[in-house]
Amino acid sequence: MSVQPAPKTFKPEPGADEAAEIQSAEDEELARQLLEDPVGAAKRVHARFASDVNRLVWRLLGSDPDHNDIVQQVFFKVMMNGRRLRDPSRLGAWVQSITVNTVYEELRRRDVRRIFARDWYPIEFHHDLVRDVEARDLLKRARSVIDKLPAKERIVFMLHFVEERPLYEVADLCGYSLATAKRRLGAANRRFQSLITNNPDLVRLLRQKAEET
Amino acid sequence: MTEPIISSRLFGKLMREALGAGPSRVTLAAQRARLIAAVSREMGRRSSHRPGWLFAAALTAAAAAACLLLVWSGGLRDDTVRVTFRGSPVTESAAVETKPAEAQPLAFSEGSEVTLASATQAELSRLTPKTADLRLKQGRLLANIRKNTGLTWTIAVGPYSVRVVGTRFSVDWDRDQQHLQVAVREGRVRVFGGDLPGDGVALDAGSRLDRRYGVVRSEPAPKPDPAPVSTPAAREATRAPGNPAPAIAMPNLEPSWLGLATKGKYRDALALAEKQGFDQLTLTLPENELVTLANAARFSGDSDRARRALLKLRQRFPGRPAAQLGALYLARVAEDVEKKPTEALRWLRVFLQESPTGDLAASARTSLMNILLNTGDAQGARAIAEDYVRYHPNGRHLSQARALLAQPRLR
Repeated sequence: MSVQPAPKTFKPEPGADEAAEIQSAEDEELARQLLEDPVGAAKRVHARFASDVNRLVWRLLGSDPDHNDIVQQVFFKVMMNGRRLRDPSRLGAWVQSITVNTVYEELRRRDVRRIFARDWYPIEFHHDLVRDVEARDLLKRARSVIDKLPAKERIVFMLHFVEERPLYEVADLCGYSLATAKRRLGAANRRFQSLITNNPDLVRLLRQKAEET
Repeated sequence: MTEPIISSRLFGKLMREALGAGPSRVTLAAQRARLIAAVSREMGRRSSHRPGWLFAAALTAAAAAACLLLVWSGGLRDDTVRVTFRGSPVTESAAVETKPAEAQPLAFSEGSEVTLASATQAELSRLTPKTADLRLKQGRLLANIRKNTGLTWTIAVGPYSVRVVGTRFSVDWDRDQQHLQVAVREGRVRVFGGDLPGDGVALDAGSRLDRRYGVVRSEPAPKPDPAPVSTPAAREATRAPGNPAPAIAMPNLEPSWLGLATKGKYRDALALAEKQGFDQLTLTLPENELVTLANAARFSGDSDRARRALLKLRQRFPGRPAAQLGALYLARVAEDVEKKPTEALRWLRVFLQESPTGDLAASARTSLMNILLNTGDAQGARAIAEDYVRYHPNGRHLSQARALLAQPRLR
């Protein structure tokens, strides 16, 4: 999947304030530096977006062992494709869109590998996920369900329910119409319910965790 | 419409909480350094290709010469894989070996690593950008093969060969007994040759192949049957070593307790471990597998076995990170399963003494604060809260610790 232009229909947060305007001006300046001096801009781009990109990849893939490689791909695409950004003030949205696309491509590759190579890979986590063992166990079981969702549905599901993005934002980030995003989310939801019904251990664990929290 | 069994929103919330904030600052710093290096490299590469007809002509000539050289040299590529052993480069056909009580890694530049255990002899029989062939002559090796590097791996062992894509596994070969053991921890391998079926035998994570050339070996070893050998399996089992079996022999592929534990089937894993001798396993397993065994017992609610495994872990591997983790798990067993807060306090303090600033220390301090508060030791909880604020300024329970410190001291 090629790098997409920044989403055009991204709705601004209600009451976009002065801080957002300053941020937008800084992003414009950063986008210009991206074109003129990519090496010099690399440090600033990473400082500006490392937290957003890492959080998004972390949540979409569920602390994947390939996390660092995927984040690297995202930033590399950002650095090398600066001239494709049409509106420099929308640098932030563009970076997020590239992040979602890169994760989607990775999931598609894994889907294809699973079909053709019939390889089975155990569920592994990034070495930074050192939380308590119970949380790891919950994640491991949750990933065994999430990994079974097709890439298109998984991205929408994770963006909406884990990353808590409203549906119109999900649609923009994925390059879908709102109707398509709704349809994908509906399909993902149905498939998720069907998968989780066959996994009583996970249901019990989730209920227990929900009571604890 | 029926009520969902678990709402997707609740699932998302629990996933979010379990995942936490993301990678550590150290990881982010490493990412940044790697990005800057990659961008500099790429920009340097691009800037060295300036347009201009003279430059373009020179470039074309250079490219043509490079192509000729490439053809002449039989496809030599600059992504040549380099191998080092004891810090020195290893060339094709070189033999490598380790002494008794010594283990040495054979490091490949594409990221894979093959560790030769003690008294092991091996040979790097072939190395190209697409192929890495090793021959294990005697002993044991543990392989950690990186995926998707474009390199095809084969490990030749006596009459067998193990073909690998990307995985972690070990191969044992006793040359005198013609005895092969392959244990796969991750990924998948296929074993060919010897008296195995023509298309080989695939081994998944957690599977183990135990084979004497010509004889299937099972655990426990089969007793000799006085009755005439009638079934093919029985004939197979009683065939003498050194007398190769026909190519239809099936190997012994049993699910292992480790494979079951890795898949989250803790009760089954524990039952199988019990059959194999739980106490014996705690004496012989490597540290990571012993942690897995202890956790299988813990998650199965078998606190007694969990404690035995964890105590053995601490006794056998003192000072190791796994042993430190063992103290934390012992605390969890005492707190959650056995409901012994005093015991839990003791182990939490041991853990924090051994690992005061480790990644799990925040979680341990939170447990400690809660137990102390529940047992009425407000002063003790305050002391831990002070430590929490000092060591974990971004911790999840910082507000709880601060609230505790804000409370007036009891006299």
